[in-house]
Amino acid sequence: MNPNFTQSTIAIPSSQGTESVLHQHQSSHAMQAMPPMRGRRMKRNRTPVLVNFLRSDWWSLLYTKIVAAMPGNGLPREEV
Amino acid sequence: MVDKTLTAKRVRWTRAGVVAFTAFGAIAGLWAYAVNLAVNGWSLYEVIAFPLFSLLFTWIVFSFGVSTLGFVSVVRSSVTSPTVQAAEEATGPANVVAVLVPVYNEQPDDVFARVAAMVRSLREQAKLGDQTNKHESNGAPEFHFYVLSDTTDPETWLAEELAWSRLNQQLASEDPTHPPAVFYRHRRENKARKSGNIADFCERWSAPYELMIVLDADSLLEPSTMTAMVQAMQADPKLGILQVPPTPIGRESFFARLQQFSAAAYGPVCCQGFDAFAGDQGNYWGHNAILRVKAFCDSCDLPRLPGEAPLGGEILSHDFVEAALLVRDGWKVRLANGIGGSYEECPTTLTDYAMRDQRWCQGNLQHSRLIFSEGFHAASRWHFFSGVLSYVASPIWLTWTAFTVAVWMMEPTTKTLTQTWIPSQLFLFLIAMSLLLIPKLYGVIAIVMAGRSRQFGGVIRLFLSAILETVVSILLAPLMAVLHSRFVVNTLRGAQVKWNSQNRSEQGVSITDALRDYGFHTTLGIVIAIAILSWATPLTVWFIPIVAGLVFAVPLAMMLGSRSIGHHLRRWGLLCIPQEISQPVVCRNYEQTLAEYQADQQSDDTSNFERLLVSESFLLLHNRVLSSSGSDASMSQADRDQILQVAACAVEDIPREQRRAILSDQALLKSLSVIAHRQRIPVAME
Repeated sequence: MNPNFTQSTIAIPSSQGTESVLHQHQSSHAMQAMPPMRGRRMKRNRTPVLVNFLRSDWWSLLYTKIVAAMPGNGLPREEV
Repeated sequence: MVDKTLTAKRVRWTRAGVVAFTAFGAIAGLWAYAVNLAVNGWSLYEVIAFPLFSLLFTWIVFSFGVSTLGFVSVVRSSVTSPTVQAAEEATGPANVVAVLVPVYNEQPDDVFARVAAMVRSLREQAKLGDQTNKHESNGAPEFHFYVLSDTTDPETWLAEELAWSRLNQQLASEDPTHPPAVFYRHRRENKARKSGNIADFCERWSAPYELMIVLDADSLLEPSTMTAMVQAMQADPKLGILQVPPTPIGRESFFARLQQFSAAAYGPVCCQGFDAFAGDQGNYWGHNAILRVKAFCDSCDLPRLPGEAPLGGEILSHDFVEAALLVRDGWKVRLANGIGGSYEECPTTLTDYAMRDQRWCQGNLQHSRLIFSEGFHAASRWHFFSGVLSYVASPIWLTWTAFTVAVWMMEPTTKTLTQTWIPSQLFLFLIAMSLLLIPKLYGVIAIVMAGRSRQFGGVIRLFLSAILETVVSILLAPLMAVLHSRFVVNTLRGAQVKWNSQNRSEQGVSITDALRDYGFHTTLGIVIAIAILSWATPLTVWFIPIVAGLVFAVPLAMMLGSRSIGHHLRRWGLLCIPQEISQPVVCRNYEQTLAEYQADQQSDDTSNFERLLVSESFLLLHNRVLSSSGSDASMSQADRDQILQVAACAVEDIPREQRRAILSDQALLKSLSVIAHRQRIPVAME
């Protein structure tokens, strides 16, 4: 259950100039949308690196060249 | 308890079997292809086409192997997947479980009607449980729902707050003894999209929870499913993620009903095969899954990929990566194929489907960077590779087809239809088609054998539905191949995909839209047809299915988007799914609640922003959302002054693009509220 749920009245004005009570809670005190913050730390992961046997210079160079050679790379990004 | 060593051993043997089957099947097929090419001598084009064919053929042999595995498992199906057995054996203590519903500019009524349906269904289940187990301690898990909003549109944001407040009020009045546990949080910045939204929850509110169920805005889970998911996690402390395959339901267009039928008819066999192959190194699809919070927090922070978009930077498709990170740290990721009761909605038109595929395409292509990254389990690398290939296969297939035609066009004199050529080509064609179509047949046979054909409208209608689905799939295949190829090329040339929320309505497809979206495909189809007829006439018969799908793309897109055709098919009992024959309680609850909400909608055109400024109680509610979400932020004094100046003339003149920032500034809202009351804008209170 929501430990912070008490009640309040949400009154929304209508176009006719009268306020229609859409949401009636049992009192007008705090209705908390979220419970008090108590979280866990997300342990950071380091940037992925290529597996050992592919980490040689020639491979990275090749990989970089392939990506850079793709048509349009290096041009301003357009949004689709 | 399940013998874990035995399970791991069985998975290893299963994988070895599938790999051996794939190798054998692929070698046999490629040998036949090579022999066929050798009849007229190898040309340069054929030398290039051969490796492309090899990749595609090996892929379909593998998929067939997995489906066959699934079929055998389903048919033997005293076989219960280990996760289901674990759920049945669980006797752990009750848990309080967080249920996360991340939303981004969705229809608030839709979102909260789903939450309402799940809460009410859980309450109904609890009541039934109380009645049947009066003398036993109530060990049922408790669920706290969190609607985690990343919504950027100010009107939708405020509508969400109202919908949340209305839902709490309704639930409280329905059962005053159990105050509702439905929370709402709005995040000021949509940082890292959905994965950032979940991470924000974990970092700020997750401590009280051992488990969390992650849903999508269109997800629905049956209460028994939620309980079974919790029990499965309790039974196996090393289980990090349990994914329950979601079944698409609830849509009415022809295209949606095709997807719903294929998922319901063929899905279980495919999922069973996938589960048997992947074992404890399964995959996560981003929603309709339960996660162990500590494992997730310890392992699933998403790294940035080196380099820039499209293939570098922020990871877009987070789910596969999160599963791989958990597996890397020794956690299990499983598919719960036997639990059921997990639903989602699917796109209703071909264009919506394509738009979703385009978003997924960039995410999946990014995974190519991770296939060779260190630390991942081989099975996770396989999932990444499969995801990439599901899109890259299309341009490969088109290229292979183009090379095949090119051989005829460029070297017509060398190519003659010999007595060997036709049978060997036909044999290869039949083999390839069998590999693609038999898995569908597996699904249908499994349903008949399980005595479930009534749930699909009876045996005859089940077969007719499967035939209809197959014909449309064949027509759609070239169309999807062209679309996927465009997505792949677009992504690689750096066109960044904007992640919009899906269009979840069913409005159909107008002829203008169809011509705009598929005119190119029709033209392409006509050009190919002319080229084949002119320069490669003997291939005409082979190309009819490809060309037909493209030439008729426009009417096909319109027919698929039609609700009326969907309704007719339903009336005739075609493409039916079990959830249409017997509607689950949670779906019925959802439809009822949504109908109530829609009937309740106000017809005036006053914006929620204006309502907020003239209603003290609405403003109070909004401020509480800001405070408890920790998302209030003051604007600069200069900006405030400028806005107050505009508001002094008329509050409704405040530009829409500034309203989002204003909504985060409590002090400014208070000042604007005073001005609005003074002005007594048309909606002012009496």
